[in-house]
Amino acid sequence: MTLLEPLFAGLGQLRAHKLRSLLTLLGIVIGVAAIIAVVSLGEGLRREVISQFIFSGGAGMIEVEPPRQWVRKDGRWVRRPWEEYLTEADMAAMQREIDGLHALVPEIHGSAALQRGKTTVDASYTGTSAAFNEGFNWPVLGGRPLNADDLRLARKVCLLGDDVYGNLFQGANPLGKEILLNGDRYVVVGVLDERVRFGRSDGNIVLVPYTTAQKRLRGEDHFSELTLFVEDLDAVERVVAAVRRVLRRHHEHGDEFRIETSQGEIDDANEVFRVLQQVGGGIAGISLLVGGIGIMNILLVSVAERTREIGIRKALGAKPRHILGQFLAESVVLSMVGGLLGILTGFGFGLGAAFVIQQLAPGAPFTSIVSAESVLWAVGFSSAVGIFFGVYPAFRAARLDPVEALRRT
Amino acid sequence: MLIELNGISKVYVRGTEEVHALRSVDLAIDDNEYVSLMGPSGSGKSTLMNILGCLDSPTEGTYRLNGTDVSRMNANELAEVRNSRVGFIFQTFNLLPRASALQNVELPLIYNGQRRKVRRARAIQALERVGLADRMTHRPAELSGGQCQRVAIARALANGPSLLLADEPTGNLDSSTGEEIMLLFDALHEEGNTVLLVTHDPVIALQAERLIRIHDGRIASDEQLA
Ligand SMILES: Nc1ncnc2c1ncn2[C@@H]1O[C@H](COP(=O)(O)OP(=O)(O)OP(=O)(O)O)[C@@H](O)[C@H]1O
Ligand SMILES: [Mg+2]
Repeated sequence: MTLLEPLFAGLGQLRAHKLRSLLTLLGIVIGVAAIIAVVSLGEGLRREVISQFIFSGGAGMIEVEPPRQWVRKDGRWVRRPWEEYLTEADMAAMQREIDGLHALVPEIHGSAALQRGKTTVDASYTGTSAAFNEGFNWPVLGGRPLNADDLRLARKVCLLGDDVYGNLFQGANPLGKEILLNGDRYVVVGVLDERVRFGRSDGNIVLVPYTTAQKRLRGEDHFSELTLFVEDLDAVERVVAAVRRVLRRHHEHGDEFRIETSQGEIDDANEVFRVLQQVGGGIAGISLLVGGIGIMNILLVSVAERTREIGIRKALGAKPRHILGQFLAESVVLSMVGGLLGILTGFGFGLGAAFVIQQLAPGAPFTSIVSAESVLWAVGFSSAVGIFFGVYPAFRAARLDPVEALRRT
Repeated sequence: MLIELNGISKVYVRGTEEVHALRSVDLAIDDNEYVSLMGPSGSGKSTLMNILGCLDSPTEGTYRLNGTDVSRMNANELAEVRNSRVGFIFQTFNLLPRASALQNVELPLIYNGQRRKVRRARAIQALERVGLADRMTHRPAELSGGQCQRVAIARALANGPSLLLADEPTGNLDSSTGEEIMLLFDALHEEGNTVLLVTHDPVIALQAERLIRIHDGRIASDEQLA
């Protein structure tokens, strides 16, 4: 007797009692659907959050900031006795000495009062380079990114975020047009793609060459921060150490520069979702338990109904293990069919929930991700439930006395 | 000696009441004998047949089948005896209602571990032997009583046992159908099988070569017929 035969026989039983089987399966279906929905929604949400934290969508991010320059002393804010900045020398050294960098983004932040004709817009500017678009994975929609000449000559050129562009130009072609930035004339060379994080737009921004920001807007020769992107998440630690080495070499208080990695935030997010998934998993487990008891019940009914059949089979030479196998197979088939239905239901539910979330938070690129792993878990779990709850009824069937069993009608 | 019973007793206990279905039965049956068993209702015929067919075990006494002591066998060994050493035929046929004639006949072959092809071929052969080659895909509900009993006989023959035990095989059939079934048993005996059958019908009983009468759990008479 092959392994498949009892499975087919199990399917036959299921077909013979469609409604009854379906009702029995409901518990398993709900349990597995819950596993799939929770796991796949959680996974989609987790990836989303992680990619929000580290804009580059998968690569590791390291932010470097100078120590706080101002401290409170005797009720007054005073500048620290040592003044240290992030400078171009720091950036150049990092660029030169650190392998595996995806992008190194300099940033100088400030507020920008923008004007075109009679229209005024309050936004913020970021003095940076083309590495900005690389690192933050924020493409230029039209026009061009900042180039080497812009930086070298500290040109008064800018790229507009999509909100700024919309407010100032209302859809007109902005390329080559002049706008006023804090009262000075700048030429628009490009427009940034839209960017929405957690349902809010980042598009109220203007990019200018960092040299321009340093010389013309702030009158300082340093950066607000440097952001390094590494291709390989595992390289984050190594890069942090290298950054620290550069800072120590260049600065007296190099240890006090702040270096933050995306890893901490990713860990936090992972932790939250791990808990969420555990709770979901617990719910799923309980419904699988209930489903399993349902299966046990239906199998006991099935054994009672088919006592005579068992008697006949035993009279014809079925060994206890044959009968045991027959009912276990039936139980496993039942629960696996339930598992498969549950996977489909859970998948549909995940998609539905993702859709609803997108309606509530427009623009959130939220997805439901069904991993092969979760499907394996669901199938494995449901067949384990089938075996576990099938054992007792199957044993009862296997131990029936042939003469007693045959006497039943 | 094929069958050797020594001091076989069977006692059923129902509450405080004991029913002695068999009382110290001694019996020997040789290879290729043709035996009929008669007796009033409740005299213990079915009990005896069930013990002979290893469906039930005696309360006391020893049963040797082909020289082996059956009472020492475990559940698996008993299953093997039922599967391939004994063919049991019931008054009520005991076919699986949802399985076709062919599938019913295949059952003992499945439990004998035969491969699909072998099993199919042997089942077809057995059905042809009982004259049902053209009814193989029919289910029991689509067959007459006589045809059902033929399927049951084919099933009993499937693994080629030498001992056929039939408990009132014609009890649920009209007399002409019963006669056809009896002709089949005659032929099977001719072919070398040992046949032991229970009947209430004296005409049928006299077709055998040996007639055993049982009364109140005891063998009342045991005679060779002409
Ligand atoms: N499981 C049981 N529990 C209690 N008593 C039983 C049981 N099986 C059989 N008996 C009793 O044992 C006796 C013999 O029964 P058995 O079935 O062997 O009779 P039988 O000769 O086959 O009768 P029939 O011709 O009606 O089939 C009867 O008195 C019956 O009531
Ligand atoms: Mg009887």
